[in-house]
Amino acid sequence: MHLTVPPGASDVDVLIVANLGLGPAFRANASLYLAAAQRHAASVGVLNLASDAVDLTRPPRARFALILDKDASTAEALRSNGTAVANSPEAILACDDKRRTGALLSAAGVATPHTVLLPPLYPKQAMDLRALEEAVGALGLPLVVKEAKGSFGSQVHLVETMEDLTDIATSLADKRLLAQEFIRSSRGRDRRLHVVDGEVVAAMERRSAHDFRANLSAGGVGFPYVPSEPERELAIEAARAVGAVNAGVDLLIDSHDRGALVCEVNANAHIWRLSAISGVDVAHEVVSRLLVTR
Amino acid sequence: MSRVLLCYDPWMLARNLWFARALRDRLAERLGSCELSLVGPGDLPTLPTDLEAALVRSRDVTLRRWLARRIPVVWNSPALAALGNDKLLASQWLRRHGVAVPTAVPAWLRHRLDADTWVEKPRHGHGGQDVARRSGSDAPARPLDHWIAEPFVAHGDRVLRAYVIGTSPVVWLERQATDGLAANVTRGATTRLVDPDERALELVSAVCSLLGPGYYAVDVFGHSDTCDDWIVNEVEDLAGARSLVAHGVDIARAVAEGLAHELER
Repeated sequence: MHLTVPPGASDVDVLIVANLGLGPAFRANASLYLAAAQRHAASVGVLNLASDAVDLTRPPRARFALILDKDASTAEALRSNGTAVANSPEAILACDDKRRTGALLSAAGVATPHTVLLPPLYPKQAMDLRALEEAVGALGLPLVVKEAKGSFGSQVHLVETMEDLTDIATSLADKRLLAQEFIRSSRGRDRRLHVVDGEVVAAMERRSAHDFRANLSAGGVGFPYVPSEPERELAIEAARAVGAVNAGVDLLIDSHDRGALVCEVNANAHIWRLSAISGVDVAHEVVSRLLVTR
Repeated sequence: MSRVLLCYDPWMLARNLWFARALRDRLAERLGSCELSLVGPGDLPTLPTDLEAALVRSRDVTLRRWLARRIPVVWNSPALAALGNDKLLASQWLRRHGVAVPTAVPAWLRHRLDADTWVEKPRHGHGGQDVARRSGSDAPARPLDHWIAEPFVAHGDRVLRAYVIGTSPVVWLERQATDGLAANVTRGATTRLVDPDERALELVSAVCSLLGPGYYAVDVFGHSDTCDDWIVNEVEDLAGARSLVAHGVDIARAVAEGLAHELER
């Protein structure tokens, strides 16, 4: 009788959960994590959310699952079957809803741009213009309108006038919106700090000459960046506030008196560009740190 | 009679064949049976299933995790393999668990150290290899994330190494650097057996309770002028034996005894 290597993706040390059907960027991201996991774990499986169904009566089981997607349901199913998951379903949900992220950061006292939650409407409900006037009164113009769900800087709009705000808020009324103070000094510029288990492991600055957003996927350019101590602490606090152990934290730069402000926290941040720009093997940092006692 | 796997990778075996033989003989004496295996990736599926313990002498954390899932007692644990072979991870992990350690940062974050003099070392290095002293104005010679920086500690050239068997330190060796920097025998450090003071013993015992049972070493050094306040320098997953044998310590016998105790528990 002999021991055998466990088959397939079931009952493995590390399960990489990712949607590999979304293009090369997503596959590159998962590949980095997969390679790192293979250097640290005896057996590694991949659950491809683009093609693999999850039977809730017998979900896959692993020692540890690295969730690279926003699918909190799969994370929950894995966890219910005894798999340790990172990030947790709660953290994934918190980061996938910018309104909830904002509320959690604010409740934890983490510095963010001034944020107003616009009325959460249902289809057939119309935006009350008084709510928009209140937002403008609180935040001034221009301001930023964000849909609660969105990635890579999409679903984020810079609004210059009350008329534009009315148009956007009306057309997106059922999208669950928030309005946020526009940080002029951070126009086309932000800093991404990657936090793993309470440590900042890599960072970069992103700049865009053509857009108020600095996202690399929206045309921004990344540069190596060494964060200051307050920035590190802020990023760690932000990740903690949403319960994420593997998070990309975006910081805006207020050149006045507030210093860095947390723009958003990503529980499924892509690391392939950050790894290339910072020179840090981010996947190795994530896997080695989260696997220590597993 | 217990079936114990003594698991070496070829590289470690080539370096320490004499110790492998000593361990094999002592384990056989104490436990009745010992299987000395060279385990590479191709050998893994063919291990017998009735093994009760494995003593692993390989730095491969993947191998360690594979064995730990199949054999009830594996010395050392995967956690020790991970921490003992990554100085940055070990430093940050121990600090988070309340253990006094020097602040270690990736070399590219050297500016975070509030120190005029600092030490640059490979994150996954062993035996003091490539450890270098630098002054505050120096840029890191190796700025990538595989190098770390720590503040230079004036008394860091004198290290107490506690050899741990099970969860208790059993032998203490003082290692004194001859180059004023790295107290590694491979860099010419001198050694002598010593008795620890109460604080050093307390610190190492606390580390052992965190790391769990195994055969490993914990290095501590004094960081005050009086050297009576100890901090952990590093954890060595694969503690050697050459220095101990030179001082007449039969460490292989002690390891076999410790493993037997662990199996009886």
